[in-house]
Amino acid sequence: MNSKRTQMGYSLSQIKKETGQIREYNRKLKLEIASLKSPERLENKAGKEFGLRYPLPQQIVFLP
Amino acid sequence: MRIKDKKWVRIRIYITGICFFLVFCLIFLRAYQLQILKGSQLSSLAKKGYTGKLTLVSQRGTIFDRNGKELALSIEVDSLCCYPKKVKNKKTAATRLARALDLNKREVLKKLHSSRSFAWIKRKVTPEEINRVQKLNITGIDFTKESRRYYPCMETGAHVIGFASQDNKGLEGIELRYNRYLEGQETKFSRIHDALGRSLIFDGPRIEKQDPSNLILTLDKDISYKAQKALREAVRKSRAKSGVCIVMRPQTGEILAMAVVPEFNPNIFWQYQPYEWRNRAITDCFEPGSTQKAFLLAGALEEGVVSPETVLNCEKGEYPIGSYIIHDSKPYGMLKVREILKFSSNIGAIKIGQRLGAERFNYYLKRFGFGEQTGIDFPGERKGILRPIRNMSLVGKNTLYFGQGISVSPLQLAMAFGAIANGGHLMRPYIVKSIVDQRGEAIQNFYPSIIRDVISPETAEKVRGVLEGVVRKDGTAPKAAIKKYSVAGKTGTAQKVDPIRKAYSNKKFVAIFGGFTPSDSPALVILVALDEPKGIPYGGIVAAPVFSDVGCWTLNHLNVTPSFPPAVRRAGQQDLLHPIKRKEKIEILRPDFPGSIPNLIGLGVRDVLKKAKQLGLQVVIKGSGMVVKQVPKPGTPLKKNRSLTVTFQPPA
Repeated sequence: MNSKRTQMGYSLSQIKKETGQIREYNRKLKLEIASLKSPERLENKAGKEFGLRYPLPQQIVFLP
Repeated sequence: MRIKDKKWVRIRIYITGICFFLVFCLIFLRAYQLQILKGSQLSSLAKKGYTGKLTLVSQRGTIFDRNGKELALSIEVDSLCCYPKKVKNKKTAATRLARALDLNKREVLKKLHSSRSFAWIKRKVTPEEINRVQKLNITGIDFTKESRRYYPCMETGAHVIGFASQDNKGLEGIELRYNRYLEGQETKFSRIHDALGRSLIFDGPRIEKQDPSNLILTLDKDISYKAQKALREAVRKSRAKSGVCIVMRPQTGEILAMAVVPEFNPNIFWQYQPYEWRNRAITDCFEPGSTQKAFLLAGALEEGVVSPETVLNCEKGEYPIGSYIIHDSKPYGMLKVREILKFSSNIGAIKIGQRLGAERFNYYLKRFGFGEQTGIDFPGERKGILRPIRNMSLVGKNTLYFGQGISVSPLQLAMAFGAIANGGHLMRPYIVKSIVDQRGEAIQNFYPSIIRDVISPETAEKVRGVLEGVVRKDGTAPKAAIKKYSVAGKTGTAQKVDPIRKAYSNKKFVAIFGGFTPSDSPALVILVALDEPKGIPYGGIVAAPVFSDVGCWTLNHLNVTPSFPPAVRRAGQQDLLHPIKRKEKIEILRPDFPGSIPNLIGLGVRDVLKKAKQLGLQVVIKGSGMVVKQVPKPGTPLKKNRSLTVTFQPPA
């Protein structure tokens, strides 16, 4: 009975530790996403790697 | 002999008995000492052996922009510490550590020689640095977890968000103002662990209330980025000392962007000077110059002393007040009130002001929120200076009409323009939209609030009409115009006071443009101010392009429908009927010519196969996803080619 309880205590704290680590990893990934999606980086990438640029005034068509 | 023997046995029994008795006494006394005398003390000592306290520094709350994008985020990082007494060969250890961490060797040595039992070597190290140090395998060196704040958008919105210290205390901006909510409290657990220190049971769960809250701001990350970029460019071009660009929603008072130059990167804020951290939109005040005329007009129209069509004499550019002569930049004769605003005539402003009267004008300035704090949820707001009229000289009263002798903050000016834009309500600006808990449920929401009604909606409408003239071709700020959107605004070029001569400087100006767009149903108020631009200092030349650039981009970003007068609308439809007339060649969508290889870039595998089948081509497919490359190139005559190599790549 007692040893069972101890055993469960061990696995419980182990799982808690793991969830903590996974949460932390998740936060790190979120940070990475946020940094990768920062407008500055995207603009740079779009311009340099894909040759995109902002439309010139004469390229914009306004639909009434 | 036998009796003697018996006696001896008895003596031996007695001796043994006494021995036993004494030993038992000893044991009993010891037991008494341990259990009764020292009992509680010892049991607590034992408890210490198998229970421990675990302190978790809970991480600072996250700050999101209005669309839920992270602006500030804390994550755990390792910090390197040492227990100096356990480090053996200190000199070599210091040398190796310094090399691995790129630190000064002497400083490391000093820390290792410290008499304390604990010292930081380097806080918040990178994973690579940890690897390097672990390879060194020095005893007495250890890692602990600490929380570090990251600002993924870097300079964007930095002055609004502010930053937090290494110890997770907010130092500037929203981080400071809302520190109470963002800062989680330390949570302590008691736990039972075994001889090896492994946890068995946690006692006492965390209390929800101690969790840090997250903030959702009114800022839009993308608009902030655009404003920052446009302002940075304008400051660089005009070689100004500093600049501010505020984008606000006039109906609510939500701040969408607050860009400030000089800028700083809050991830490494300690490398910048405090003056670079300052949110100048809120803490810096200047004279509004001619932008003031917009509020003069609002007051005068509200009181009914003039109408936009009233004609006033602008005195051919010279008008004596007391012993001074007021000049206009260009001499004007008779001008309508509408034109006075359009050309920004100072003498005309005085004429309007004289009809309104200084007292009443002062009253309206106060109603527009000048001389008092806007009440924004941000630390360090200044309220500017609005002096009482009775303390003013005759010249002072008259120059107040065109914005001298008063100081205002950019935010006050933006809010006052907002009042004209939204039909007369002065709004309280705000940056934090809501405070939410870790599960995303709102703890507190913030809503728009009207401070007061300044002018009637009809007056506001008239002022908007007059201010639209400013951005016409012959106005002072044609560069503020945005294609297909109506703009209303007012320029200002305020002379700065030279602190040494105590007079207005002829070289130092503040160039301002404040306005809103689309003027018939304003979606945005934008205020741009550049401090001490070199070269041409006019607000209409330096500040107006920023307005136009940021305004155009933001209207598109927010999907605001362009405004067309009916005539243009018809023309626009005709435009659509003949779109091919455009000279602009659009390269990306090359039409496929019959008898040549079509352009397959961007297509999926199925479409490629379908097209190839129609043309009777054999296709070699490489990769999967969408076409990024094709050999031969589009437009090559079909006759020579019977096969086609197409490279696919999954969309990124």
